[in-house]
Amino acid sequence: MKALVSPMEIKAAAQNGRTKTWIDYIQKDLPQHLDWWPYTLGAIPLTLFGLLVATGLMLTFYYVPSPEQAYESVEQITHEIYLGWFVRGLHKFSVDLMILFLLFHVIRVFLTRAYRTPGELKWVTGALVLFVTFAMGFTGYSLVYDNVSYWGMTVVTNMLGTLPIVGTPLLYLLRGGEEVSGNTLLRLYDLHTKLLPVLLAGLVLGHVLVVRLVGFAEVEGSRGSHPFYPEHTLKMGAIAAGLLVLIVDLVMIFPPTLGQPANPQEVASDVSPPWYFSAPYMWITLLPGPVALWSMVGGAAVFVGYPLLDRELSKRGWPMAIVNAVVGALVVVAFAALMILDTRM
Amino acid sequence: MPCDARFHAHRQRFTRHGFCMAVIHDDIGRRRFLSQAVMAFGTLFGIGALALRFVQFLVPSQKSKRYEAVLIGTEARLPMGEAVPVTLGTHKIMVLKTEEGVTAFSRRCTDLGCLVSWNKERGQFVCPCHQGVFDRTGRNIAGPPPRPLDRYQVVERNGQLYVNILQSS
Amino acid sequence: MDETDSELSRYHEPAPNGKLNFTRYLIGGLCLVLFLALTGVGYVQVEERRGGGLRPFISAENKKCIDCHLAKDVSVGGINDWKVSAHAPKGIGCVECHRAEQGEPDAFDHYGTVVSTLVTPKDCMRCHDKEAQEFARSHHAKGAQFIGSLDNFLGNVVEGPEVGTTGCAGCHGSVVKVMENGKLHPSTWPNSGIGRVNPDGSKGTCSACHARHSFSIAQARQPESCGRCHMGPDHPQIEAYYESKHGVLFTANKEKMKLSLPKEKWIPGRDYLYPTCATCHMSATLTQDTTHDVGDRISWTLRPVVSTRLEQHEERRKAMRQVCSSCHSPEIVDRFFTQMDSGITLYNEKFGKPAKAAMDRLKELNKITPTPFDEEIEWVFYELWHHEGRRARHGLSKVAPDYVHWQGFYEVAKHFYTKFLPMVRELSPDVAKDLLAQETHRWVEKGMTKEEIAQMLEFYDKEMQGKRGGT
Repeated sequence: MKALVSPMEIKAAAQNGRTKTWIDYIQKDLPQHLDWWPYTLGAIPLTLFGLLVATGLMLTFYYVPSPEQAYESVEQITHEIYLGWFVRGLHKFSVDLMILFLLFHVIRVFLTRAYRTPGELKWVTGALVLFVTFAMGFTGYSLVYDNVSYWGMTVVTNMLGTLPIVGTPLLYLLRGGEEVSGNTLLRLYDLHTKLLPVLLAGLVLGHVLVVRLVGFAEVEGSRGSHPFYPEHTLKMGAIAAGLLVLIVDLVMIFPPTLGQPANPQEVASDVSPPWYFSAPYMWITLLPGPVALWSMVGGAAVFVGYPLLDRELSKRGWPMAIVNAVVGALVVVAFAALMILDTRM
Repeated sequence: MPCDARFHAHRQRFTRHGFCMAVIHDDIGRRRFLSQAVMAFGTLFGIGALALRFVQFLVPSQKSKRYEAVLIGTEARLPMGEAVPVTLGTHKIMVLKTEEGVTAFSRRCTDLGCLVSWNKERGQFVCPCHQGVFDRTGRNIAGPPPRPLDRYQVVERNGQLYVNILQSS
Repeated sequence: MDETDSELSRYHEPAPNGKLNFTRYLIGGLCLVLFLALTGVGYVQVEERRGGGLRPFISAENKKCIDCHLAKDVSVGGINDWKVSAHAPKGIGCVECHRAEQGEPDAFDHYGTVVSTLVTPKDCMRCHDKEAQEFARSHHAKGAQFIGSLDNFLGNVVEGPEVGTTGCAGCHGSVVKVMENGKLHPSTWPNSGIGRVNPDGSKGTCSACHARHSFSIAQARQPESCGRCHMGPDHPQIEAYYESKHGVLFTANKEKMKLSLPKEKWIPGRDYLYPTCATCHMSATLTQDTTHDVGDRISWTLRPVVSTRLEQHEERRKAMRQVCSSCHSPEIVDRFFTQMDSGITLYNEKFGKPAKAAMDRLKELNKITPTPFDEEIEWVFYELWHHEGRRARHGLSKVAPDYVHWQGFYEVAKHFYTKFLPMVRELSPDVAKDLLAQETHRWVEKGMTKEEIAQMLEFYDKEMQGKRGGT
């Protein structure tokens, strides 16, 4: 990996004994290929995560997690409080974009096989970040408590309830009873604002640390390097600023809306989970129960353990670069097809 | 420009930084300073505006202030030259009827918030805490109070008197 | 900043300065764009509330109206009603509907704005074009054209003109008269009859069903909106509806009706299950669009002495069958219409046609005067078809058994045989003979056969344990 002697190291050697500044702690040589934008896709979710934490914190100043007042408080945020629509819109778009860019990031890593030794831990922590982000997305979606989100929450908890073995206990644990109730809302609120954010922050930190410790994947043709500070940080700054502009504009063009209040007596006419769940939702709807479930559980397991699979298959002489390209394309097409199907139904 | 060119040529390795600095130190410094200034300026405004928006979100809305008219009775029932204390929710009010008409004052002394009372003989509001004195128009005329008593708007509708008080949500 | 930087430059590998500087400019520029966008955010709010659909949007012009009305306490309820309307968040307020042009017959100056009290279909048409056109060709729009009819004579002459103003015109609509100052004559206004003739020449008023000022679609879809007029002894549509299973299911499931959904999201069988009047006569189905020509799906007229099929009744019937099929199988729909058609034919053939023929003959023979309602037999005949006969027919069309029988055919038959027949006989035995010419009336003269009497006695002795009816 370290065929070249980096100028940083020369300098470091030359300046032995100098007192360190904070920059020394974050300073690192980055391989040349990180200049190319698909390799910065990880920094985008990080920025969005920061924005989500900030806006989420602010929303808690007005949100009331009780079935009687949840909807009303969201309505107040959306329509009454000055700039409430803006903060809620930022929060909403940030999570959508965060998931979107996480998916892009995963696809990029998958296609370039950046998870190969010693990158397995990067992949696994990243996969967990993705899952927890999904959980955050779902719990947040449920908190709105309008009719669509209420029934979306019912549908997704139902989906979880059909999981083998852990399903029923998990369903009870989540709902705090047999049915979706006030308990459920409070539980989801606690998950969304306390447990999951801490978990996610830990995982994100872990992921970044692992990336720093293990180093970046080697890419053919990427021979040179550039310092983390100021080159890469500036680049990240530019991306963050661009993202902010994008989100602020998106929120202005598509301000958040709110449907009818939740009505447990009446199934929403257009009940659908958030877009990032619509593919698995359709999958479960289309296939017979056990098949759909086991295939999803299996898929998730394969996803997390893919670096090992890759290693095994490579040993047997499989052309993994091509396999990944094919598998990746197939999965993306399948997800897109299921999502389109969901909007049609 | 030779320096820039050199930088590019030697980008990856072995550039002698100091050497270059020595040659055209001023030019590079100026360029960098300028770009940094622009960045700092932009960031200050951009992130500052975002922070301001966030703070605005958290500041309770002033717009929801709504007044409601509360009935206090007909003018005839109020005694002339007398101030009647009225409590409406959290609002403690003195309704005073004089030759000039009916006025309503907050009873909160503008000094430290003790409740003033009406002294009929002197025709003044007197605060018992530090002997603050207000005249019949609410003006602070003696003692520590820094400003006149707060006033409530009195409106007449169909022979009935109402005071406009801030609606508590 | 400077300090750190100079320190940095001492021991860091210099990146290509041009590129770094460019990135800094980029960040600065993007942040300035962000600043601009965030400044814009403060201005978006009003737009968002307007489009958000939950807050009334009060334009400066309408604010003038509202402030003054509130201050003077004039029709505050109307304003508050408007605030919950679907119009309010879109900013469609006072002047948008009440504004008038100088020179219009009912226009008058109202504190500097030329307005008219009446908001007619012509005004509503500016946005609701399709609805207004459908309405204009409907039978509803012709509601006020009943001058010269028997009913008008009854109301305005036999009863008295004051009845005409509120009783007749209340549902049918008045012919609005404008006084010189642009105000409306009290004998013709207030009025929200369905066929009101407006000074601008348009017919009808949308607020007959979409009660102002909330113009709620949910309220208009309530059976009671139709029941304001379609009720009572002469045409108890609403009563028959509430007796039917449709009405029972509606009452039991009112809260599941989603009456306020927009038309394309209010599809029977999909979005809701229990039909109101609007469902069958007006609302959209999976294949049909909404119609404000309420007669579009009606194949019979149940109004006159003898029911007749309307023009293009086959297409109309087809449209109605399609509505029924939203929930019912074609077999059920088929057989329902067979039952209804044969019931109406029974009324027509057995009672309607013979009675009408008898009345025409009596008039020809000068046994009765051409003036209506001056002889008792005219009242009896009138009620026979106008009240009881219609009740029977509406019972048939709404599947309301009691209205078919006890409130309908029973009364028809009772008055036909015990009042109308003796009166006709008294005036002319010949005509009376013709009246009973049909086979179905033979039983009156023939009486029951012995077997029939024996069968009836057996029924009461065995099945009812001797508890016989009144006779």
